[in-house]
Order: sequence, then C-alpha cells, then structure tokens
Amino acid sequence: MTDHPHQTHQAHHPQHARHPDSTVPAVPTIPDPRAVLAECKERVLEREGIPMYLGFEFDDAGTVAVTDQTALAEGALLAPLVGHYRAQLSPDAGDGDEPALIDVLQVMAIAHLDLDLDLGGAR
Amino acid sequence: MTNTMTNTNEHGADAGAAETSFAGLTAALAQGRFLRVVNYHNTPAADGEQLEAELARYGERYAPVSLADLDRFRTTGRWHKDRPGIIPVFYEGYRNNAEVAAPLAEKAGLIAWFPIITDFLDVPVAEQYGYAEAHDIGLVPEDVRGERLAMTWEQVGELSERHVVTPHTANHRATEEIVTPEDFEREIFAPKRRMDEVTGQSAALFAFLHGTARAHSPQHAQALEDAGYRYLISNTMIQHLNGSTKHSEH
Repeated sequence: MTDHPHQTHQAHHPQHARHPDSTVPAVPTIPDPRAVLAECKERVLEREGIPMYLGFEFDDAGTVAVTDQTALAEGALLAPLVGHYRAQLSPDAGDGDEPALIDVLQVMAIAHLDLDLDLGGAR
Repeated sequence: MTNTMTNTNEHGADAGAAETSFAGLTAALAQGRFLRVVNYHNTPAADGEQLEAELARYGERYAPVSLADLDRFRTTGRWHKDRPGIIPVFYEGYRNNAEVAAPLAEKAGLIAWFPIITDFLDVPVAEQYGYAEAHDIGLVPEDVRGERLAMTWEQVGELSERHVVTPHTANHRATEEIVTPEDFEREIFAPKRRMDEVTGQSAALFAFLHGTARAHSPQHAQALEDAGYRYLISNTMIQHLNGSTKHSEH
C-alpha cells in the first residue's frame, strides 16, 4: 500500500448511478482510455511520477471566484472530459465514487496535461 | 466542529459532500479552480536521468508554485505568472528526495513540495529499512538495509529555503489510525511543531496516508486547523481549511 493521492482504491462504494454523458468534449480525446489507465496502473509507483489534476477548493470561495482567463479557458475544456472519461471508464460509478474519480483524473492528466499550451489535442 | 458537510459556496459546489465527487471536480474545473501535480515517491539516483528529463520538460512548460502563489490564487482568483503552474510532489521524506530530486527540481526551475513522514527522520539509520517496511514506505532495490534512507532534519531545513516542506503525519498514518487524543497529538500536532522549529516557518499543508479528504473526517480536519495547517492535500483536491484565516497566511 502506498500513500495518498491517487493511489488508493480502498473505499470503493459504487452507487450504480449511471452518469448522463451529455456533454461532448471540445477537444480530441484519446480513443482507448482503458489502455491508458492500465498503463498508468502498471507503473512502479515507488519510483515513477504520476501526473494528476487536483481540484482546488477554497472555502472562502464565497467571496473569490477565479477570473484568470487562461485557467477558465483550460477549465472549460477540461470539465467535459470528466464526464466523457467517466462514461468510458466507469459508467456505473456513482457521483461519490472516489476511486473511479481518481482513475478519470489520472487518465485526463496523462492524456491532456498539455491542454493549456495548445488548447486542443490529445497526446 | 467545522461545518464542512453542509457548507455550500456561491459557485454551487457543496464544499463538503461534493468535494470528492464527479460533480464537485467538474465544477472546480469549470470554475478554473484546479492544479497540476506530479506525484513521486522514491527517487533513486539510478533514475536521475529520467527524472531530470521529466522535470526539465515540466519546467519548460509550466511555472513553479510556491505557497505564496497558492495563497494568492486562492485569495484573488488570479494566476499571476505567464505560464500555468505545476507542482512536483515528493512524498515520504526519502533521503534521495533531498539529494536527487530537489537539485533536479531546482535545475528545472521548479518548486518541489515534500510531504514528510516526520518520525521516519528520527529512526536510527540501522532501523530505517525495517521502519519503512512496516509503515508502507515504498522501497526499491537500490535501498540497502542498514544505510540511511530518510532525509535528515538538517536537509529539511535546507529544503525549506527553496521548496515547500510539510508533514505527512508522524508515522504514515491514515485517519482511521488516528483515534485517541494521544494519536492526534503524535500524528498531527507534534509533526508541525517539530517541522516549524526546524524551518522557522509555519508548515501549511498536510496529507494523510490514503489521501483522506476533509469531508470524510471532519474531526481530523478540525484538528488540522487547530494545529495551524491551512491546506489538506487529498486524493482529488487541495482543500483550504475553514477558519484558517486566523492563522498566518505565510
């Protein structure tokens, strides 16, 4: 067992609520996310870097909203990818299924970490 | 007790129940509230060339992220650098994190973050291999029993001058293992005091083993706030802790 972020798949409690994948991503997506996920899981976690997107939650967000145009533009492209890859990887995962969410974020990071640079295109 | 389970911000994301959900993450991304990290653990010298290439690539494309940068983004909503940020995170407090990874991060122009298992550093060198085996600290073939595997407190102090160092519990514990008042003191409070004493700073971040998020354990989140931490690194979020404005911002 390792650490923390993104490597723990202990509390897997799918709620069997199918996600309505109604949003079409505005960027090309990888054709086989399951293969990318499998590749990721085969990495030697003790010695290989694993890229990851993390949400940034601030409780004082009631008074502060992100206005950075680059972050908003990237986020607008990234947000639909969550639903897209969720439908591809874990269509039956419930909204609070954290292990499934971690898988999606990992695949997104591996495939789209450079999204901000070209604002389009998967690897 | 912090009311993290019912706190809903004006952007529509339930800050408690939704924080580790698909809906919560989708909202965070859509609102521009996200960060890029690369999680590392053991960084043996044998992998130095590969690590150097990775970090150099990240350094060319992204900007370093300091705690001040994180605070500024959180409090203003604006990212003030010309490139998006990326955070290489090196977990556990391995000796080679200090001696291999940190110099390479610096060479790449990046600020590395080091969540450190604080008691690992105090284990006698001859016992560190066994401690690692017993505490879910991943070892690689290059790690030799009897040799020093953990960084020293002196190295922590040096790293703190250029990078971000912060506790990752005292003994690599998950929230389920932190139950009694003694557990809380040992795993949450004491690590911060020790680290702050060494660095002369205020350790701002914390991560539990298994990346437990705030909503999954409000009791532990409250203890983090009481100890003076300002952020929790969970599996899918970096979470600013409620009420932490009472603590120093940097």
